Amino acid sequence: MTKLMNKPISELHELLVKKEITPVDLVNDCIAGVKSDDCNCFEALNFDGALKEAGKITEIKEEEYLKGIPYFAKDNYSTKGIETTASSNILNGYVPVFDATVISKLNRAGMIMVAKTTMDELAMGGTGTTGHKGSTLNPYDHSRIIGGSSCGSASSLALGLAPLALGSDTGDSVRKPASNGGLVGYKATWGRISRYGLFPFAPSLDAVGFFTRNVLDASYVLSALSGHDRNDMSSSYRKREKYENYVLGHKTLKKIGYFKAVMDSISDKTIKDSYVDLLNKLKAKGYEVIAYDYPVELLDALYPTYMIISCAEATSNDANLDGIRFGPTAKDNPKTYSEYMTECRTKGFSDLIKRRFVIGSFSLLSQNQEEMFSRAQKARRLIVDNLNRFFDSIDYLVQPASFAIPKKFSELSTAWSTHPDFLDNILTLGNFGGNPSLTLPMAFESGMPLGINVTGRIFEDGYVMGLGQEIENITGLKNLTVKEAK
Amino acid sequence: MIKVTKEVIEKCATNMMFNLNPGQADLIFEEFNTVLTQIDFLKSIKGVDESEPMTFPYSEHQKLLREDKPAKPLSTKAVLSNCNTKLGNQVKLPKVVGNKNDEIDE
Repeated sequence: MTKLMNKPISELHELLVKKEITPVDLVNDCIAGVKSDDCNCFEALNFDGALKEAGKITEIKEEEYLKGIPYFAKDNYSTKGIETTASSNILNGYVPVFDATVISKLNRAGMIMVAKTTMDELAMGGTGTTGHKGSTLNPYDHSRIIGGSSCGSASSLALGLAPLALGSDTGDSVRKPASNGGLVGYKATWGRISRYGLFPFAPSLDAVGFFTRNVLDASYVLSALSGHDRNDMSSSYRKREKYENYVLGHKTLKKIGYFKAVMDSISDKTIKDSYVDLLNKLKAKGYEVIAYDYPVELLDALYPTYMIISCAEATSNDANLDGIRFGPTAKDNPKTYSEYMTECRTKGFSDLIKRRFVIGSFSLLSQNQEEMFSRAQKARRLIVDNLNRFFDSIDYLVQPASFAIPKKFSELSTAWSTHPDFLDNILTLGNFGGNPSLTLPMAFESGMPLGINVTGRIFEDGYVMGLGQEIENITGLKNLTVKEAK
Repeated sequence: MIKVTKEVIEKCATNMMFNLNPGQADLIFEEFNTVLTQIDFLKSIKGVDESEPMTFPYSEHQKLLREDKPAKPLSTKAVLSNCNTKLGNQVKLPKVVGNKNDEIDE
């Protein structure tokens, strides 16, 4: 087990600056942790490369907060020279020739990538069970899911194997696993962090995200990752900020809202009591807490709207996976290019992915597009317009990140949900609107962590971080790993 | 809208360039009952068909001309080091059509 990697970035940084430890010590500790993984967290390993990089670092200054610190990256970020498969057989053997912008930025900040983490295949899925290496387990209870799609990143941090792991968030793929793993999980404003080099799933919803174990660490990472990138035409030109100043300076806005329908629908007593208690404590600290009537029919629309848009966008994004340059090859002698590609794609995609592609393809047929894809886009407009109406008068939406402890593997179904519960899909609001959204620990139930989520107006990432710190101070739940929590 | 049948499902799979495993078309056919019910629900939401489709989360227009910056292309060596097979100074792709025995060896 690790001796150092269960510490947050802030503590490791202090030890590095004082020269009580070296980056090589940290990488060796991280490697030992990766080797002890019992939750199926990892895809590719970068031990030699990490040790080489760590060995080059001789001096770390006070202001070089991230320098010399190991981290993990979800396997859908391009990493130069390191196999990147997005946990799909269709990408087996693919070795990118460039780094994703977020990887380059962390490298420039002096961080050291030690391993790539498992995920749901091509980031499609919320259970952490569909990747080609099998299910990723929740460290708090191996019979339960950690959730996905950023499953390996979440589990590895909950195990205390590194202080930072990159994820990606299209529906809630960072923020839900963060809740299930007692972690801080952040999805920035759409456009705030470059997605260049992130394998697209549904680009109108996809966002870079990451896991840390406290809010201050998250704010420093956000400062390092944010900013315009000429390689990503959806990245914003807005000026980047020092997000740690919001955390250290206790900068927050004052109006907190919640949806009445959500509050009324919570059946889990621990979650409801913890949520109400937290809102009361925020009120006692001078925040105004406002109940808001968000239309219930739009909450019920979250699941079908998300599923149709994401499946449709994915069908076109993954059309380039043809099996020619990487992935499985065809065995027989096909007569045409189409035959070859069909055989490779049949072998390369799992059944779940094929089902989603068929639904996406059906919704994009010219005869169906208006009734399905376009209607889902119109429903999205109503969902976001109503969310923006909320944000016209209220600064934050604060609500539980999950409404029950994570499911057991034996309880899972991958079928299209017949009666979707809007509580399970509530975090998609942040993807539809592109809002900054932060999950952090709120409580424990039966030994399992439960998270609270803070969502803010677009580009008010700093204020979201500020309120996150306020909540962390109230709950006292930070720097959690499964070992300490137990 | 096209009526969902197993044939249509197979056609969508063909369009997506993969084959479905036995029984999978049946599973997707059943799943479509749910999907179509939920599409009907979306249709029933007041004002949905009068609203504009949302393609991206928000609009943020930038009026500027990007400066051209010369980029450094990958070197031939870097590209070739990333290939499973090469032929001289070129990337060799697997032969995908016709008899594989006819492939040109390095």
